[in-house]
Amino acid sequence: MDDQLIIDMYFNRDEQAITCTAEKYGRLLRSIAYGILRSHEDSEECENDTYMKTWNIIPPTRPNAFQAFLAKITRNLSLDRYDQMHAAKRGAGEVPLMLDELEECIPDDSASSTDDGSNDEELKRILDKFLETLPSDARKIFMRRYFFGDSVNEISDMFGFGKSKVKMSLSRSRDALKSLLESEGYYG
Amino acid sequence: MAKSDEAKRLLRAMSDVDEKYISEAIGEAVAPKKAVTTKLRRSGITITAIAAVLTVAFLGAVIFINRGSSQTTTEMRDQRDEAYSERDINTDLFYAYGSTMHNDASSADTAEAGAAAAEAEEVEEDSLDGDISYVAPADDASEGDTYALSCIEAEDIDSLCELAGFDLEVPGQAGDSTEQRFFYYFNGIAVVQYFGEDGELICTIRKVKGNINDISGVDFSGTGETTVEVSDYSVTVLTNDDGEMAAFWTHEGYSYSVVPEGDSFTEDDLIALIEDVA
Repeated sequence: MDDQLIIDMYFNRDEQAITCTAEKYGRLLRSIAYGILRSHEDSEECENDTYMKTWNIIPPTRPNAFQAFLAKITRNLSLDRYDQMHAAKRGAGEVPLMLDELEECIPDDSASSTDDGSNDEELKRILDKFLETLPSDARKIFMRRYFFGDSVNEISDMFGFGKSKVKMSLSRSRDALKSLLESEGYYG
Repeated sequence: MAKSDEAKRLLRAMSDVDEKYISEAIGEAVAPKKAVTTKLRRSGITITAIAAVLTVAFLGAVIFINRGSSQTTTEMRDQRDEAYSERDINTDLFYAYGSTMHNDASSADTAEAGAAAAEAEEVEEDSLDGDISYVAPADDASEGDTYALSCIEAEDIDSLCELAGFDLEVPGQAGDSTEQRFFYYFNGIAVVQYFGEDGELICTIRKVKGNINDISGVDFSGTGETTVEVSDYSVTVLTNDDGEMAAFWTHEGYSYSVVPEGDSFTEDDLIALIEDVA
């Protein structure tokens, strides 16, 4: 079913919208949640939470890219759940590894920033600029790793690349992101 | 804010990137894998190594495998020469490489070079274009048919040099490689391959005696070509649209090539490797 027809159903408060969304994107959303949570049960709960949140957001929001719109919601919900589950300690799965890797992008002498969200728009702008500069494969590998939470092995199988190549690509991309964050003055 | 908190912020911020990047990456998850086409397009050592194993089974005594201490290097060379003179391997799975018989005029004084030159003429008749890259099988082969020559796997670089009859210096590592393997092909090419921790091929280095234009074994059609100066010689670097590269050059009577697998190497990485090959 066309995404615009599904969105129209949300606008018409037709509950079939959720069923149609689940049929078309349920598997994707579960995979996104699983990439972060590494638990099927928790992934399904995040999937259901996504439908609830989507029902509450549409209308008035009318997303342009429905698939990506849903993916973002699921990802944020999964990260929220992850934080709740692992508030006191680092958990298992890919998130701790991803965080360790992303710390490489933070300069050692970075100035402390406040957590008031004022820099979030700037960070989004820099990330978009960074992704635009990456070669296509490197960008897709970076997104699969740090948006979807895929492991190096999973990315290797998905692309048909060797693990070394995936690791090297991610390492270079992190270096490039660090350079851009520094040159844009994000860390003072 | 601590680095760990900044990393969390960065991870969160990934949720807000432009949707086109999310859609692009989702598409990758359902697209067919691409690597096999790339590897099959190249007349590479990997396919030839597999073909060499098949040759052992198919031809029996014609194929010689390094038996360690039970055969001396001289015995293996004699068997190699005999096998090479009986090259009736002709299955379309195999590929052949430029012949060491195509020596330049500077070595024509020796008897060995004379015999080599005679065979070079014979080979040249069979070659596709006179600038020998492939050698067609004898007898019932038709133009364009190719076949593989057998190889011996050497234990280490010193054994490889002994088999090849010339010195070869190579870097100890290429990229993230964890293993090296050494092959001597019966047409005189010495090959060193680098593998990653999962056994994936990372890079292939070749050396052969003689001035042959391109021994990389790579077929890059319609690609970019540049020349870079390394030490005191010029290196030709081919690059295709997928970012793959192949480098080859001649120096002091020998021909070389360095071919990284895939597009994980930059040109600087490639030059660094070339500088350590002699």
